[in-house]
Amino acid sequence: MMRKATAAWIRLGAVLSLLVFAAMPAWASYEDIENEVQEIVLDNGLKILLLERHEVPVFSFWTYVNVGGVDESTGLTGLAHMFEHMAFKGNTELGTTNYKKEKKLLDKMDLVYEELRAERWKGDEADADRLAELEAEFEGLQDEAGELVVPNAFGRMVEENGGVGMNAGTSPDATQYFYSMPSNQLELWALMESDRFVRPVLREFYKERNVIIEERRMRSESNPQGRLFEEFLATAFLGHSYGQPTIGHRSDIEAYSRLDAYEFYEKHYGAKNMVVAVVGDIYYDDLKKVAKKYFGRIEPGHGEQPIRTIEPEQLGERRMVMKDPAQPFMFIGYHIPESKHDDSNALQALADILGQGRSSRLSTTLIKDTQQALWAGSFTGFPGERFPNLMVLVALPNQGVDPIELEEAVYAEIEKIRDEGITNDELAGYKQRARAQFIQGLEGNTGMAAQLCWAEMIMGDWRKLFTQLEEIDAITTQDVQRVANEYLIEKHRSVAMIVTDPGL
Amino acid sequence: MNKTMRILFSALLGVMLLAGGMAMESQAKTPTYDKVLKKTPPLRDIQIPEVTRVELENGMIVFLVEDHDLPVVKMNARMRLGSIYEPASKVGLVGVMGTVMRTGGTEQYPGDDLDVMLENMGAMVEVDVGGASPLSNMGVSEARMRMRCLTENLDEVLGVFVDIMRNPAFPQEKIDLAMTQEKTAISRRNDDADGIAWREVKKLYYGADSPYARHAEYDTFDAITRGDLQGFHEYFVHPNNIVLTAGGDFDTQEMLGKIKEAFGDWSSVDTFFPPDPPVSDTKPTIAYIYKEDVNQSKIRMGHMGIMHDDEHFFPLRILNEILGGGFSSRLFSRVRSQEELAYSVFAWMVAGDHHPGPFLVGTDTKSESTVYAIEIILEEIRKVTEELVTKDELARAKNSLKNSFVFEFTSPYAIAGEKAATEFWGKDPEYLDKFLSNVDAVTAEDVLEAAKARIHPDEIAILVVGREEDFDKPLSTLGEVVELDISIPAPSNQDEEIPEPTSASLAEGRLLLDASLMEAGGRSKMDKLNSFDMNADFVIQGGPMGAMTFQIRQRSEANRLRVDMSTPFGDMLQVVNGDLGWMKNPMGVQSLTPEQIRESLADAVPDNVAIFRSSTGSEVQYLGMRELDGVEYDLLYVYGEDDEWTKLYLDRTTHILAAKESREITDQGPALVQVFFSDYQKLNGFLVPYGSRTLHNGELFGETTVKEMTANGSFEDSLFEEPK
Repeated sequence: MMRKATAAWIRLGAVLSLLVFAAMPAWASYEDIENEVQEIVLDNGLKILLLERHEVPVFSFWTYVNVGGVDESTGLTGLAHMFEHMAFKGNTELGTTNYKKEKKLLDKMDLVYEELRAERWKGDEADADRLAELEAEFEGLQDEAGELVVPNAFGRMVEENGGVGMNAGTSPDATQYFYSMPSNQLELWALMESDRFVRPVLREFYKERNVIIEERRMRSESNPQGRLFEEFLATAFLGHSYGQPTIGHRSDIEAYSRLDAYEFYEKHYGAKNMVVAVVGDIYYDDLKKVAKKYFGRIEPGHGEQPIRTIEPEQLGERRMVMKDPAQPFMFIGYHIPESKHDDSNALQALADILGQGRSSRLSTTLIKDTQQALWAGSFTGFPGERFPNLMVLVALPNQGVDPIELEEAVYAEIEKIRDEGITNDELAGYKQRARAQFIQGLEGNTGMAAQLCWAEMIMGDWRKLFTQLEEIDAITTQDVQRVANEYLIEKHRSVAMIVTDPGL
Repeated sequence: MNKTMRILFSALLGVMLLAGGMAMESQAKTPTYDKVLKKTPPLRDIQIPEVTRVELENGMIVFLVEDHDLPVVKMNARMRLGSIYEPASKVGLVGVMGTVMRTGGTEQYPGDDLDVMLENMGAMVEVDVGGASPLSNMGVSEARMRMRCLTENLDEVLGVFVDIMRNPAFPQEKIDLAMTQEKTAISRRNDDADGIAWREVKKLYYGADSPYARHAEYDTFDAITRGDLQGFHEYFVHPNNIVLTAGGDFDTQEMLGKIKEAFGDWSSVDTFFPPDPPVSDTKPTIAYIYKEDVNQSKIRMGHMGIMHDDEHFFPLRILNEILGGGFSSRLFSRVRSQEELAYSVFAWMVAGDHHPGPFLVGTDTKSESTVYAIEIILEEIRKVTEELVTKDELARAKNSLKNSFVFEFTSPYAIAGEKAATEFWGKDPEYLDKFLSNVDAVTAEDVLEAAKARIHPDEIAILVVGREEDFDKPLSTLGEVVELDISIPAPSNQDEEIPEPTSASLAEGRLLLDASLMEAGGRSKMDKLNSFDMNADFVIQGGPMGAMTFQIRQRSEANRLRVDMSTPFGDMLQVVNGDLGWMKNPMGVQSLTPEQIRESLADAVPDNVAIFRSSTGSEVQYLGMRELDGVEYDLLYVYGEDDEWTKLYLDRTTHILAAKESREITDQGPALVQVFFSDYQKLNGFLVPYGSRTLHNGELFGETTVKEMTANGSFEDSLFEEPK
């Protein structure tokens, strides 16, 4: 139940996937793995991917739902994340001692809450007595409903039956659920995981809202880099919902209702809008049987929902300077296209050569040579990959270094690539590194399941995980120089930085 | 099927049936779930990969396991090496050593070249000495070197791995870079409340000065030299302090051959004995740290916990599940789900491998519920020491541990690593074999007994990082509160900015120094002093045993020296004879290093003589009038060729040398050293001080009183013979 920066780690999957087929060793080839991935498509449109691995009697799964912070409209930010939390609260059978009774109370609560919220929104005009009355009624119903709850029944069921690594993450692009189980628990898993989307009960909703506010305090409000992160997104995106915080604005979390969340669920949680990957000691026929029986119950739904707003072209550099007691820290972002775009392989190569690893340009120059930076790096796919996004450079100045000087030094490195391009050796090294990282990334059931989902949903086909490698091999130094010149331009830049002010 | 597999198999089968039964018992009706649970098939057998253990002749222990799924090889070398072995004055040494082993590389593989070489192969070689997690030994009592590469690059990467381990070059420029980075990290360490809380709570349960809790400061980094890094590496990194794990796509015999070739000629060194873990004598404290920019308090609580071989290990493992681990725990249910006070809440009895881990509890809650959250957490902790856990809880915890046990076996490399850790720390080799039956045997009474024995609610230290003005109640509701000052100590070597010398300030400086020499008697009288025989008392302050007096007789010539000392620890003798030198103490005779010989000879003359003689070729800059302890002096800045500086304080009317000041590495670490001279008397016509007081960082360190001194006598040769 964490709002992890899933985008970054999925992005890692993307990095790993960029590899070359050159110099294939004698062991099982990647095509074999590609051919071993099996697909099950249910009548409701749900696609389930399976990679059988029978060495150890365990399996991992990854459920990727194509809904995230980006799908939220103004006033309702944070709902995708809220539903993620609710997906741990059980269903009409699990998590309650008497669902019929509980449902009546919850329905009543919904009505009272709508009235209460309307009264609250009146602000100073609100009728204090009426407010108190509604609050009392609401609290009473909540307590009554709470008595029927079997707390954390979902988590208990997983843990008690051997599940490990249970968690979930909401990013701007997606909501993802995962854990691992002993392989004899296939059917229990299929029942539990599908029940999340077939018959969820959004119970303890308003209590969980307060938990989420604590989560927001922890990640964003009481952490200087968390504060800067939200400012940076808002600075870089004028219209597109990538500019919104996935955890939600404070005011929105404090206002959204169970009915809002239910509506959100109905709109986005259809079988056509999700993919499930299973990797481990599971046989195709067994999976197919339980998939049909349990996952087949999920409503087909509407498929992917369009996002109408297209980020307008940026007309000039934007800067956000946050005076804070903390030490300096900066984000520099440039607009780049979505990951499916033809240029994204070259952009990924650029980000890697510029700022990933000890031998990258930023590391060599700014960390080792001039020693201006404690750390400096770059990556693409921020804050998501479904839509045009940012290549981001992060830089932390060393003690006594003026952040502006460091910022200029970062630009100088970009200029060098724009003017002179990258070397053949750098590109060859990148391709070789990507190949090795891909191979190493095949280890582990959970990571493999996550990568399959990523390729299926972000790249449009899980096979891209394997075929994209050839595209990478085709990248030239000219491609990298061209995308640097096309995208890393001042006009399309947004900068957010902490400038230390100990007096604050 | 070996024993482990059999136990595993039968236990899992049993558990599954139990799990089905459990759901039936609960109040809730979950027919669909019950049906599925009832027909859960048994888990099939586990094939446990074969792990080979070899002990090399030099004492290195190697665990190897083959895994041909991917063309990848991984290695991991565990060493007993960590921050607990650092001298207090050089905290941070091990971190810098680990960093520079990798960034500096070796003569054959300089670090910057390695960065390119390894990354272009997608390979990794790292030295892990940090982490500072309270849950792990890493960096504290254990360091690791790791490598990972494609099989096709194995020979090359193994070569790098071995060379870095055995022959790190420690180039000065990479040491300087590491220092810059480490010091920047210090400057950033109070930015984030979470970092503050984890760092400071350790001091509450281990003690602030404990090697298990203390951390580096600017001064401790300044005290670290290249020689320290080399010395530490030499002392700790040797084959009989290493347990190596290798896993992946290789043939065991072939790999063993490579390992023997790489390490076989490395000789073992007598093992050292790690220091004993501290016994916490800290009083339970409620500590508060003010953090202005937060709206949520970080609460961390704890006391000393247990070792892995604790008699109550398994009941406490179960208790961890029930009290504060996972989604089913009491704290999660109460603090998060029921009371909606926090997103994160945990309690864990950490079983240390090397030293007792903490019993650690924590949550992050809004400022307005800080004290309430602490109260209910304490209530829950008390409850487990007073009441039996329920049958339901006990069964659930056991099921969770037993049913997830299979995940111990998911990676051959991890299995080999677990065996390595077991041997490395001397843990029970049958831990995994007996895990299931040990878990099964735990009763609710055992859990209560363990909780009573190992959890002490009244001894828990509590740390709160937050804004007390926003708290629901004053923290003092809970007891006496100590507010901690975590402001970062400025480096004590932050000396005044010395202005650029001008010809005028240099001329004036030289003039004043010459005047001082003239006042003492002049150069020719000074140069005629060529041997000294001195009796003095040296009273040292501030030692652990209070003031101590050393009686000293020092006889010295141009290149010979004999110092007889009578000390509370017995008599000591130091002799220098030309290029040779010895120190004799009750433990025996040791040779002096050339450096020690040089320094001893230079110091074996009266202080002002040493200063006048050594400053002949230096720049002497006049810095103006300066007040020290209420007296005005003329201040000279003497800057030598070796970048060393000394400040001299001269009496404004007589020009007599009143004090000197310099920055030195002392036995207590780096310090600003000031020496005040007094009781000037003529020695063969030249004024020398008979009294001096030495201050370290402004605190009196010692006083010297010369009782008798003669010059230009001659000594018996036998005085300067090697002591027996």
